[in-house]
Amino acid sequence: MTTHTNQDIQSARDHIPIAEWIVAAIGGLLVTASFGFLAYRASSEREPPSFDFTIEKLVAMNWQTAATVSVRNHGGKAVADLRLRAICTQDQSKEVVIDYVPAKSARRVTFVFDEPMMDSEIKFFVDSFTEP
Amino acid sequence: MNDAAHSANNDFPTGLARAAGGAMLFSLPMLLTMEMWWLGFTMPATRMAVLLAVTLPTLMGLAYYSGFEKPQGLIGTVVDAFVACCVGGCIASCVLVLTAVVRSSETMLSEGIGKVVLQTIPASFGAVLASSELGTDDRADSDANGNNRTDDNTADDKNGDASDRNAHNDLGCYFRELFLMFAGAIFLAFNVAPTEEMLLVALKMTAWHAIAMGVLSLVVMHAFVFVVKFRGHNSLPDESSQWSVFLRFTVPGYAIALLVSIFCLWVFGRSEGTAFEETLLATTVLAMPASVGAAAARMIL
Repeated sequence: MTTHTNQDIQSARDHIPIAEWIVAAIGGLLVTASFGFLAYRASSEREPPSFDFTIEKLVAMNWQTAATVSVRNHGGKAVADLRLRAICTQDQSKEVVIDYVPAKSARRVTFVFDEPMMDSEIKFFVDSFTEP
Repeated sequence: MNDAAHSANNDFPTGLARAAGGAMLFSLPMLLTMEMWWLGFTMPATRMAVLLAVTLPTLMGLAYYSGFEKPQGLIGTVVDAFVACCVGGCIASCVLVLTAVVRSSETMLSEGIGKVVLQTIPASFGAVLASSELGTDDRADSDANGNNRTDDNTADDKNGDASDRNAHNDLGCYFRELFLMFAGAIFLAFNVAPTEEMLLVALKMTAWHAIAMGVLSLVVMHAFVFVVKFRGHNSLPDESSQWSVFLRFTVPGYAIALLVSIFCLWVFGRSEGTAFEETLLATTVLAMPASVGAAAARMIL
């Protein structure tokens, strides 16, 4: 049976390399920072969802036009099943449903309109969304 | 031909067969996951390259500590890692072709390559871990006969507290433990990170949930290795060093799990267009399985 005196144990503890403590400190800092940020987020007010739309690209596809749009949720709450409608001035209406948009995040969608509409204005409407 | 060379030649087919078994066991869930097929053609080439640049050295490290053959120096280790990749690639290709996910008549060459390369990674992990998971105790025997590779499990059983103190205070052993935690974390995180559920769970959670999950991950990590006494568990050097071991092993281990998780989310495009705080929530979710993987790797390997 192996026995150790307090001196042995103290000696073993004294021999823990400094590099281990440095790694432990870096790890501790990272973990504390993550938890700290999460605690800050938990205690701060979350604004309701609000959206803005940016047309990133208009590409002609034969007799159609593909409009790539960035949808940004400026609110502090995520939304799911976001139903969007895009209407261009030629009275064309297209719909898309985005699975979810996290808070303060963006998702990209593409609407395909039936006619060339490079100079037409496009308006976007949010029809509905749910909580994730 | 001398006895050693003859034995090595006889062992190689057995090692290959074990590697194929390990590759199958570890990668089948991913080979049958739809998101992984899609990622094969949606993932940008640069991210795939970064993923390979991270996983290949990890495989080499695992081949060194737990390869499917007895250790044969640096070159042997590198060869082992590439053999594991080859076995993993073959298994992944076979399963993807058999399940008609890759069809020669419909699948573009680049798409097929993307799917196979992505699936080769978990399969290679399985191949390289085959020996420790599916092999016999040959390695432990060979280690006991003078091999310089350390084996904490054997040493723990035979030498008790003395080896524990050595493992907890030796710098080489310490970084070996960190590496094993990294490898375990990346393997388990890789298994779940491609799924959409990671981000979806994060969206449903509040930050308090995430904090609770983080604390639980830390507790589980520590308990897995030091408390519940699974096979291969590590004993604490002494009662009063609980906090010391927690700070030096469990906390850096969890930090590694967090870093691995955020890396996996980025590689699989789950953080794209997503705010940092939302990504952090998803990271905490993914860090839960990653930390279990990290803890398990310390005992298994």
